[in-house]
Amino acid sequence: MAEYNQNARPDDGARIPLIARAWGALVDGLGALGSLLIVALMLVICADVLSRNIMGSSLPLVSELGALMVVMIVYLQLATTIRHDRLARADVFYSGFCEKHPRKGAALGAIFDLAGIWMIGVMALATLNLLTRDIGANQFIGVTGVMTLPTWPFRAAILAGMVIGGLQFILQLLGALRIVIQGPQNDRA
Amino acid sequence: MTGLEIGLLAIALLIGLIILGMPIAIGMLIVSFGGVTLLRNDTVAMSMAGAVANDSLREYLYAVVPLFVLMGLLVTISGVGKDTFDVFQHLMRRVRAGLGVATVFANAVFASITGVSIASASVFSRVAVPEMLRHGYRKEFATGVVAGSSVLGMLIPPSLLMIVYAVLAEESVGRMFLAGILPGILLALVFSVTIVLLATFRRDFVFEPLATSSEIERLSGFQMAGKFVPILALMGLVLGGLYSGFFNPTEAGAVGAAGALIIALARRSLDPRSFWSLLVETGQITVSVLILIMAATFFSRMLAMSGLPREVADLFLSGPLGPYGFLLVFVVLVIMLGCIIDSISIMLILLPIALPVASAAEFDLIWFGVITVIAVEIGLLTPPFGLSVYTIKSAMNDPDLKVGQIFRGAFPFVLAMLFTLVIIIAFPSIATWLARG
Repeated sequence: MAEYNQNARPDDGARIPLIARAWGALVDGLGALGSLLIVALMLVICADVLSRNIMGSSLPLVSELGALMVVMIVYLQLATTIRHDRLARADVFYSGFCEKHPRKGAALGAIFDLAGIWMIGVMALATLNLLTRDIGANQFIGVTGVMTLPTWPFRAAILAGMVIGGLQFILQLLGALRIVIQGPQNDRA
Repeated sequence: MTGLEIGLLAIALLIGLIILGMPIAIGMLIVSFGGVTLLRNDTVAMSMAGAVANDSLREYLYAVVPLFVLMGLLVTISGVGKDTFDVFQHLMRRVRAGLGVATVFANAVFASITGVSIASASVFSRVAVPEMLRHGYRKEFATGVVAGSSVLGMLIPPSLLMIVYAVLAEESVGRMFLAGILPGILLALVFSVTIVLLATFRRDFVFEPLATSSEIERLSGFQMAGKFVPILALMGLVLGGLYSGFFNPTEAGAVGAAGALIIALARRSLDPRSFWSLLVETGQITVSVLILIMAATFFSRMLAMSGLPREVADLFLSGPLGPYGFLLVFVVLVIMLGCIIDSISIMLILLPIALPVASAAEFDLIWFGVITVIAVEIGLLTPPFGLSVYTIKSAMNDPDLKVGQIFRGAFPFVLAMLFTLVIIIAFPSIATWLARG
């Protein structure tokens, strides 16, 4: 019976891993994009330093762009950070508790996930308001006539990062609830 | 409820949630959101959350975090740590317990090209510990030295903790970096003296009973130069650039990371796969730090709104405790929290309250920052959750080595840190001289 349990709902078995894999690829792919942005950030700033010393003038927009890139790096990687459980937490109690009481541990984890969903939801809603305002008012960075960039694409990327992070929390909540209801599964793979 | 009560409740709730294991950033966001809702209303809380999420990280300065993390991981993978150790091993070959002293100085130098204690702890537990064991040092002592000296990483610039402090205290990152140099050197000296004293008066703590001291390999001048030049070049680039004002901290991070990348490529220690996983790791460390900073911005705005920091300042400064009483309470609190949570989180929770008090007490905030960082670092070495100690345990991968042994080995260094802390409190100019000069 226990062995059968591992392959419960055989008709879903073929479909869900594919979706799960695609989701994982999306989340980690965005994270990879964020990692590439770190390299880009390094190159942009080095180029700025070089241009300042060789040509005597800084590149335009580097500090504004650098600041926006930092925000992008964070929100692009938010979901993958959640997925790989890399949000900093204190391990005084939690992992020991989960090991001893898998079901209660999962319930506690589910509460944390809910808190995460709530907070990301609040921030995403507020960001949505900012995004509509940005588009309406044609907000941009830089100096008019020299070089400008509209802010809404950055805002939209931030919002997308939040939404995907929120969905990742929802997936984890569902996983935790499954453990709470069905007990710990043996398929640890 | 008064603002004061709401502030206190939020802090108590936050600490409770953190101990239960909620991700710290989520905990901070939720108590801050709840706090502002109670203090004002949910519309205000909502718009504050949006502002914090979108704008608090939009600072050119924060680019230093991924850049210095990248630089630190690159020098770690390129084997620079081992070279530094080789050089100091050679230089210290005539000193009593010279390998221990060499570990301290190698850590101090390595610290000047990485910003994370944990990187130093994992590098030197692989490089220095086996060498010390081979020369008859006890395992407890060898791992204790590595744990103790790894804290230099956060004091000697570049340092992640200094960056976080500078952000919270609105001090310049460059100045905070400079402020860490002399205290870092002082701490390295105190550690070395501790080691030599232990080797003289408590020989059984340092060496195995039947230790036979074997010859230490000699290096030719040419070999020394080959090992040391890349490190000195990076140090010169980053510290020299910062000190002369040639680079701002963000630029120093970018140039340092590029330099470290060139060194790693030149030594062929990078293949596409390891470079990629290093980038992913950089990203994850960056995000977990910056998300914490974002959440802490909300938290400190909520606390300021509650009026709690002002009340705490009044309590300490007009009461019998006075400024130095406050400093004592603060240091003790930091060390106690260090037993439960990580360094950055401690600073993010305590500093929104402590900084207004410190500036009301007319403390030099650079000096206060150095004290905070040392106190926070003591927590890395104390049971039950000293992070450095656990890093060493997992890097060593030795089932016979108990965590308790490392804690015992690190204990003399905890005392040495307390001693250094007292000296810096007594002589603030050690911290402020370079920074204000």
